[in-house]
Amino acid sequence: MSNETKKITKMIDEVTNFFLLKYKCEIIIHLIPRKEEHEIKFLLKGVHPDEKEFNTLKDLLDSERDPSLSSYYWQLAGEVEDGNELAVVAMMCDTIKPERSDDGLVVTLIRKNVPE
Amino acid sequence: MDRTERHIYLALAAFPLLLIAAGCAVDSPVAILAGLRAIVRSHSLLLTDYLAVGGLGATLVNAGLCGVISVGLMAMNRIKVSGPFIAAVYTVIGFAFFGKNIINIWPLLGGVWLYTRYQGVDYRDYLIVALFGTTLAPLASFVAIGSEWPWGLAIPLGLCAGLAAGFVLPPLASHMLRFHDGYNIYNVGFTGGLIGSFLSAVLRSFGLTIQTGELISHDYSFFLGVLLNLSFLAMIAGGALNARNQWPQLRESGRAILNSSGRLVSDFVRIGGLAATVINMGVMGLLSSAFVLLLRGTFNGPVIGGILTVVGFAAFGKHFKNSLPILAGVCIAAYVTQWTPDSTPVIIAGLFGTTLAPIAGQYGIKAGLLAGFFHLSVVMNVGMLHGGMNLYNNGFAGGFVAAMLVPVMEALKRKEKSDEQ
Repeated sequence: MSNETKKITKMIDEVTNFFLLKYKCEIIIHLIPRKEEHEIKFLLKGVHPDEKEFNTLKDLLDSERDPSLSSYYWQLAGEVEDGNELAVVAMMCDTIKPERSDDGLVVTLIRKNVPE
Repeated sequence: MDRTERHIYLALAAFPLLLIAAGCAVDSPVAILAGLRAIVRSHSLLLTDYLAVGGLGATLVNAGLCGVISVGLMAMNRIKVSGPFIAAVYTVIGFAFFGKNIINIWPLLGGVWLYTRYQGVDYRDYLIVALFGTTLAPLASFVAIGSEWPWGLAIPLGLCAGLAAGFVLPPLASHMLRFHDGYNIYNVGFTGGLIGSFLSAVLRSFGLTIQTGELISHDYSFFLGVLLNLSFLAMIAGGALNARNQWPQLRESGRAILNSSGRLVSDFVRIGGLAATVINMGVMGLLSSAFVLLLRGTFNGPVIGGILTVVGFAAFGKHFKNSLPILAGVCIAAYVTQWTPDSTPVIIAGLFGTTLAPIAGQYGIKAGLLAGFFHLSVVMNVGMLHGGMNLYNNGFAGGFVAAMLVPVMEALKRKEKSDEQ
């Protein structure tokens, strides 16, 4: 599908928007395109959420990929001005993993490619 | 499909099956068949109340069958039941009281299927658009039946018109989300309005007169009011029973739903779980009925369509906190403008006007009141563009209202924030 690249950039847009509004921190983004998938890694430097906040974030990101909805609603990703949810991104990803590190919070998104 | 999913499917199919059973109980098979024949042979443009066209039994059976078809398509495509799909099923059932029937929905469903074949993707990826896309079902009916062209020409043309509209819906509907940023929940209604306006302009240029009007029945109001409200009470009881012994969790789930702005994509099944969602659906059904009674309206086809759509979208964005300001805004507008508050168009403008509930959810009560107020004026003027071919006329109007109000609200919010700093 020709929209695949656009979907990746929309996901980055939405997640960046969400974290900027929430933490106003330095964000390092690694986008790794592979043959079978795209991996997007966000490092939120200096962000060390407490247990409660970390669990809330995990809940927000806890969703399985749902093409029956994301094929239609993906255009909304990145359009929100007051980011308080990541539902659209969550339904576009195969896995989303938030982790703690010494440098800060690391959130890794993986989206398997749709055959062209 | 696992056992839990099977139970959820059965619960979803229960309401349309109840409608079929009620239809069979109130009329004879002969009367139902005659009524269904009249329904599928009507032009179905807004506002054609099938209760006036085919009678009570046939209308209930038509609505139930359309619901069963929707649930069946979901099951065939292995769809996981979620808020958006619950909304889609209830919307199809609701509009099967005034515009969608067991025949005219197929060209639209088929058009979306053709699009998925063309793109080489699964039909399940666009089934949600296909179900909502039946908003343009009257287009097929009007060209095939209402155009008064020779049958040999009109029926294939009606089929082609429906297929073509269905084919272009998925890319357009997805694109149109950006017009209102997800603040108009009936997005396919906005898209359908544009397609309907485009196609009716083409049809008019060939000399076709698209005559809309109001054909509304007031004969079965008490029966339908009781049937619906008992169903809503059953939903609340069913949800509570499902959550028995887990009251603190249910309270948390309810709070999560009520804290949601409702902006697309707010899937309440995901946010609050199934039990809390079903209770919210029942509550919104009762609230909608109270709104109808408050304005001294009757439970006719379009009004029932409005109520059932609100109930469906109570799984996908609507709750009393974000819907009440819209209903109040429409009420205020109805009393200060030239429109008659107890007329069916005004009552359904209120019910369907809750498509703008996310504006109240995001920007507060005053913004919701304003959105409801303007919605009534806009919805009373946009129907002529598509000649009643787009059943979700309020979704069409809601798109314009949201696109006008949201940027202004955002700007005012930023100003308030900068004043605070």
